[in-house]
Amino acid sequence: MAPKKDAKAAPARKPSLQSAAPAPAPEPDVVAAPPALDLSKVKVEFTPDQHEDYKEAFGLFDRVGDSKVAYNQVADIMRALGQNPTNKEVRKVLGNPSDEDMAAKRLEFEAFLPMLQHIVNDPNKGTFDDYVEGLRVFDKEGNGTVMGAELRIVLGTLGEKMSEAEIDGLMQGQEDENGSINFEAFVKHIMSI
Amino acid sequence: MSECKDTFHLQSGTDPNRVVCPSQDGCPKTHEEDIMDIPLDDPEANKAAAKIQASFRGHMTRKKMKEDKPREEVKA
Repeated sequence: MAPKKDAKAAPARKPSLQSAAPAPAPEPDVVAAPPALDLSKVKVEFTPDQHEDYKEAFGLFDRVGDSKVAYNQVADIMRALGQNPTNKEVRKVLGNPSDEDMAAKRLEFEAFLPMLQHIVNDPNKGTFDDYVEGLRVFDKEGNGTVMGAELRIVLGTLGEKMSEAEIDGLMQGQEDENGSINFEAFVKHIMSI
Repeated sequence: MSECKDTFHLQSGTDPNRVVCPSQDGCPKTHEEDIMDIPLDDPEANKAAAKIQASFRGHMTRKKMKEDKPREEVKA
């Protein structure tokens, strides 16, 4: 199967199409919800080939046979299509569903497309340099390596914490005999797939 | 969290609180000193971490899809 599954922005990329609907007036003792995302303003710009590839990938995730996928599968479908959204970004495009909704609600392909387009259009997407510089913070000796053990702690305690199983899967075979990781090589490896 | 009793516990660099345990795999004890070095409350650090974690999760999903693909094709 020709691997044309990477979702790429159309060449003439318009400025960010995010238009937040006005946020509800925050109540004094409640943290204001993040502004709702207006997906109707997102122009879907995928080519027919991309549309076909994405539909196929989407179909692979449909375990029920109703041509839909569960909300909690959307992050993985986007990742399968070459994107790297944070879990927070995915929840945002889904309209900030509750945990119950994430497990129970299902999404059809046509509704998925503007969500994917929004993620594809994100001007803040991480680059090779972003990741390398992010890891360089933990390069105590300034020699281009980080301790695997320290990276494991960071991944498990900061940001969107990763589980031990996720971390093990990620770090498998990455540490040298001293338990160090050359982070530029690591990031290259991460970005190669 | 108890201190590691590993006799090879070393002090690293000029910070006496920074302890490195070389036997990461063999040492089951959590190293409180290491954890105190992690900027848990720093929003920028957390934002950077989330971005990196997102790239890692993307990579692992794609890797898994590649490995699973032959089975999927057979099933279809």
